[in-house]
Amino acid sequence: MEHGLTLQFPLRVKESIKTGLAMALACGIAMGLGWTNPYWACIAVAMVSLPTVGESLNKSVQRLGGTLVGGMFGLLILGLFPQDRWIFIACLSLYIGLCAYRMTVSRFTYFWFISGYIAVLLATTVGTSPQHEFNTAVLRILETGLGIIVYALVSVFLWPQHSAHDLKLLLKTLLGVQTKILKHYFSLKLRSDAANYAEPGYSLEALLVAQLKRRVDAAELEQLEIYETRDWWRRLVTQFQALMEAMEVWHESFPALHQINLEEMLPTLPAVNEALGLRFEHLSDIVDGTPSKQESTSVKLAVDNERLRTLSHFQRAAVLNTHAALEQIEAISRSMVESLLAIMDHRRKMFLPPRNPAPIIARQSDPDSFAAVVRAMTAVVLAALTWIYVDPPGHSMFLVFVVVHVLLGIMTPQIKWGIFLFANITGIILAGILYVFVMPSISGYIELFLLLFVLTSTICYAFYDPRLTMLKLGGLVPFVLLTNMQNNQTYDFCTFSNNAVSMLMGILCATAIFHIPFSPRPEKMFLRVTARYFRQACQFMSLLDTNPERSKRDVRMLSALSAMQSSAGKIGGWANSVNYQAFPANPPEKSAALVKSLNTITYRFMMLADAGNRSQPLWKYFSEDIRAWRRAIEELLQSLARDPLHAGAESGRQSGLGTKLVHLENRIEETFQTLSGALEDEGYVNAYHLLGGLRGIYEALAEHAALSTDFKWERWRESSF
Amino acid sequence: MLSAPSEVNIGGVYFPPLFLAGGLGLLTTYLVVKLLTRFRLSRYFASPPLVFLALMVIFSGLIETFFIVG
Repeated sequence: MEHGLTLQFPLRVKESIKTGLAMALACGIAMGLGWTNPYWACIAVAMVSLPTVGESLNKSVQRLGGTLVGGMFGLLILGLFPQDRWIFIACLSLYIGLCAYRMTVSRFTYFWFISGYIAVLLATTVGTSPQHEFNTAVLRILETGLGIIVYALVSVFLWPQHSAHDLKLLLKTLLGVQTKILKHYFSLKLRSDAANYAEPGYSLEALLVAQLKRRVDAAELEQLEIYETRDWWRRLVTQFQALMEAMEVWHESFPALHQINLEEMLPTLPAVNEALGLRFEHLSDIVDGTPSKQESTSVKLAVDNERLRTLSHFQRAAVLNTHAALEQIEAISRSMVESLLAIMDHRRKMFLPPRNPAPIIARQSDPDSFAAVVRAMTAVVLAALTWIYVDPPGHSMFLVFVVVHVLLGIMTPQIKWGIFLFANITGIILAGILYVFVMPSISGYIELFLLLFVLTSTICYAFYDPRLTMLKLGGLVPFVLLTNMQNNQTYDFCTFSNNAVSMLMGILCATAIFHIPFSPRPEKMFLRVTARYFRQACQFMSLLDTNPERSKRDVRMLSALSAMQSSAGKIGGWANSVNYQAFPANPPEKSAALVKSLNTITYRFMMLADAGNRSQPLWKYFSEDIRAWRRAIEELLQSLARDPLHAGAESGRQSGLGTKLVHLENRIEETFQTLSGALEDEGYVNAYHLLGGLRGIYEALAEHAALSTDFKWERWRESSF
Repeated sequence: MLSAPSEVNIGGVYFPPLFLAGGLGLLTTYLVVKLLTRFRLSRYFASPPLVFLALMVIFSGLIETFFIVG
């Protein structure tokens, strides 16, 4: 259908108008149907309004599911313990604790958040009869569904933004970035400069991979075509992640290759470079829908064993590690072709992707998960006791507000409570002005529609940036909740102010609870999670069993490695939240360098894990030396875990560790010289991988210790408000 | 004879005195805490959150006693 006049609005304006329109319509429909509490539909609209249809649907499904499950639980405990308040509070706190725990380990964080919130909302809605509670639960589900459906329809028919359209563009962008990074790494090794030029590329790459995962999750709900090939899409996302890690693992080995002419050792390296370049072009062509071009062929990466023998054993290890990394990159890129062809080609998509033999480690629980449980249960108990013995403003709503804000804090750990409180105060003042001076003069739905539309659109426009979501909600939610829009509207400023105070007290109590059991300040969390990271690294080292007979992948080792990756990610998040203006001695660049160093250590551990999983028939010749060296590393990691502050002091021990390493290397040199096996023997190759992995760990820890020496840890450890 | 606190009348809207005292006490505590942090005096406290809570109670009590007249 062509339009004579096309209005072109910026995306920000479109999204704001859509949200405002959906909110006003949802409220009107709920009122038209005679439902009480139509503002519940408005809240559903405010919560599920996201930029693309797929993302909104994803969140909507979680919200509806959470409402159902939470509602059922709320009704259950009301039915079981109507007159036993202590058991009632105990059961409620256990369920909220479970929801808090699941929020930290499940993919469906928002589902568990809503489940906990609705459970406490319905459980505390004490009416005159059981039918009242049931009706409330059903109404809540209905109005949530109404809000979701209204927003879905508005976003589908009015300026729809599809995740699926962006997927192709995102794939091409990601392939472009990875091609660029790979070309740069090859150029570093085929020339000899070693600048860290590709670092910004890696950050962008990680961002794009995370974005791809989110878009695929959203697009599955949006387009049937993507839903049908969802297994292949998920496999593709995993492959992009694996490719990113493989390239970084290779990049981590560059310092060890410093004085080696890699082209001499790996004569077909330029051909492999070219072949991989063609492979990535082929991938891009498949995304464009032109896969008919000649498929790139694989080039075997050969090793010149004669030249390799002229190197020291550790240099040989570095070269062979590079060989393994490049073979892995080649294998991953080849399997990406298969995945993309299956996605784009209708004939292939009917086949399921091959099963991934490696166990998938889900998000693991860590001390933060248990802290979340403690906080959530404490919130329920304290708020319930306050409700019973003090009867604060808002009465039962005080319990709801405390719990929902604690759960919100668990969902967004880096929330700035002061700013959030200020946003809510501002929202309450705005709501109060509208409630007292504007709403009493509204006589019909049209005027209410205009008020809701203008207010919602303005707030959404002002806080469109996803980083300002908390401020957006702080402006919208107080108005929607406190004005209590009904068909038969009444005005009671006493109730308004009581609920407003209850809301603010809930935020203050949640802020206080978040200091149990430890401070949530970003710099304190940085220190805490860094110590945890080194404990996890120590656990990994203790599991590193270089038994030559063991060839199966140890799930515990994967679990420890996954925990380290998770901790490194959290440390990066906390580093971004620190208020560096308060700590001028530690500028953001220093903490960014520390975070990068921890990521490097993680990649070195990944290399070591890969090496440790290979069979080691030559183990018996140098097992004692490696065990001694491993024990020394474990001691260092334990001291770093106990007190990262003195990582610099540990640098004195590095020389002892360095001496051990030199001794080990000398012994290995002697041992290999007495052996008469050929270099291409798998045993030698695997031994070199292991030695390279151990050396990589040592170098990464030494670099981290040097960075730690330069960091003013005392300021971050000081008590502060 | 002690005067009992009664509602505070602001523009015809009656507020409980504890509400105003608590609000002003929170604001005062926040400002004091900012100063303590600014001059690094907070490092002498073992548990700053408890100090915050204590200051809030103290300031709320003082404000209600001396400024909010019953």
